[in-house]
Amino acid sequence: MDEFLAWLTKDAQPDLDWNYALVTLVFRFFAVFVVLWMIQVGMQLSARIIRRIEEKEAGGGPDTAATPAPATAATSDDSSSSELDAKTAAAIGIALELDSQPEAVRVEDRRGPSAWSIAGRVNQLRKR
Amino acid sequence: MEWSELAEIIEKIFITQMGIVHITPGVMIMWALGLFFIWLAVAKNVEPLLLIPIGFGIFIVNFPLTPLMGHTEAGHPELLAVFYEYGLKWELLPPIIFLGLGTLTDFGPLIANPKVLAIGAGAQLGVFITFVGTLLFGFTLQEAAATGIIGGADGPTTVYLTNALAPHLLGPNAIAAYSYMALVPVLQPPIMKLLTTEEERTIRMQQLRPVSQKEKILFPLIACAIVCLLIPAVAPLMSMLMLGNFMREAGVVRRLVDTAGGALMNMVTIFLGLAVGATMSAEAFFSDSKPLIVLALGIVDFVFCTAGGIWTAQLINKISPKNPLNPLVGSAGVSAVPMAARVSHSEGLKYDPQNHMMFHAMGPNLAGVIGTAAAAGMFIAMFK
Repeated sequence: MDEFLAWLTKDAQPDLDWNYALVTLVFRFFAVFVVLWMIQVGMQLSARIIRRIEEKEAGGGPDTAATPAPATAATSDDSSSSELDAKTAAAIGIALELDSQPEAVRVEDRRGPSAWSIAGRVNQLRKR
Repeated sequence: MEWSELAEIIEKIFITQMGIVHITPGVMIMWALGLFFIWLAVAKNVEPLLLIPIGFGIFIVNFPLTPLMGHTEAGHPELLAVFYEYGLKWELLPPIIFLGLGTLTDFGPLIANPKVLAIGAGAQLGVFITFVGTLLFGFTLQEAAATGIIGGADGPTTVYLTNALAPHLLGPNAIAAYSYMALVPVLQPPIMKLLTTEEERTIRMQQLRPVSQKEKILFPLIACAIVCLLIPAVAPLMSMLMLGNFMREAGVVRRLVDTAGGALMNMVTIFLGLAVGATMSAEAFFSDSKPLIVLALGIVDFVFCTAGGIWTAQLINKISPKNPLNPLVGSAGVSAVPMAARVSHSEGLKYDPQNHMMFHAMGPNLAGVIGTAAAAGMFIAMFK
């Protein structure tokens, strides 16, 4: 084993402190995880706080808080049904997304309803 | 005037004023290398924004007696030396590139799924493995750190760290980093296939939640504060990245965003590429075997970084099986944005044509940028 190690390190700098190099290396590698984990915690906390603030501002549930702009537009345009408002808002949001970022829409989970089906459902609801 | 005097004058002209008699095999190899990069950029469209200035820099700096990388008699730096000294030595250009990158980056996919941040850390595995590998080849700790960061596949970070720790390796390291970044679509798919099962490759990830504008505005402030508090050494890069992103998300400085992500970034790219290419003189490149070792170990580095990202995604699935990640997005943990994410996306489509993973892969990809910068900051803190 010693011979193998000697052969392996034959070209290395003679004054290199391998213990220092390896210990600090392992420590730093896990430190990268710690740094990114702390960012993750910071993001999750801020997301939670923002969601609460938006819920308070909207005075409703988390659905309205997630898409604040369309929700506001819907309540001002049509106050007959809150269910219809949310769907209209979703349809408008997806239509805008389709219009502005066609690339982005391609990555949606196709198992869910498409923008066109949502828009169709909204039309059906309106007819009723 | 006698013939001997005339011959002496002519000889003097040839030796001191013309480069043609100073051409060496090393110079010709470097010309070939420079022209190869230019060919890759023009004919193959491989990273043309970077490879054209780098390739041209290598090409012109290797003409003997050209007043490009030296100093004038008055002590002023010559043209490319100005870019090098004030751009790279003063650590100016990489942070400005990061500023531009910040304005072009949407961190939404990362904010929507923050658990993928761990992939950005796991994908630094190759950086640390290569660090040990280079030590075995006789590199100093500083040189090993600068070479290890190549696997992070982040050009500006590689340039920044190498300049801080081992400036004599700037050329080879930058060339290796940008070359392997360009080779992401070739290098990664076999590793992805080797390390994942058919079942894993067809995992469909849960649709990302919508991210509010307030979250996007807060993210650069939070990330910048945390990174600068924990790794102050990397503040020049991270603070510029986050400033650019904050300007973008705040939405009130459209002109600054357009400039930072457009004209300014383009200008800086030219200066950075030329300065990096200019460090690749034949004398520097062939003075020892280290540049060749860098190029060889860079690919090992890259393989382990890709593997590290995939293994981390698999580990996350083991720890939290609810809403599993498709391990193919793990390879995007190397920070070649957005190429690595595109590779994850296209590989996913091969196994399930309805499984679009571009947005999902952008999260680890952006985490990789932060992870590589964090690793670089730690190396600077350790060895500078």
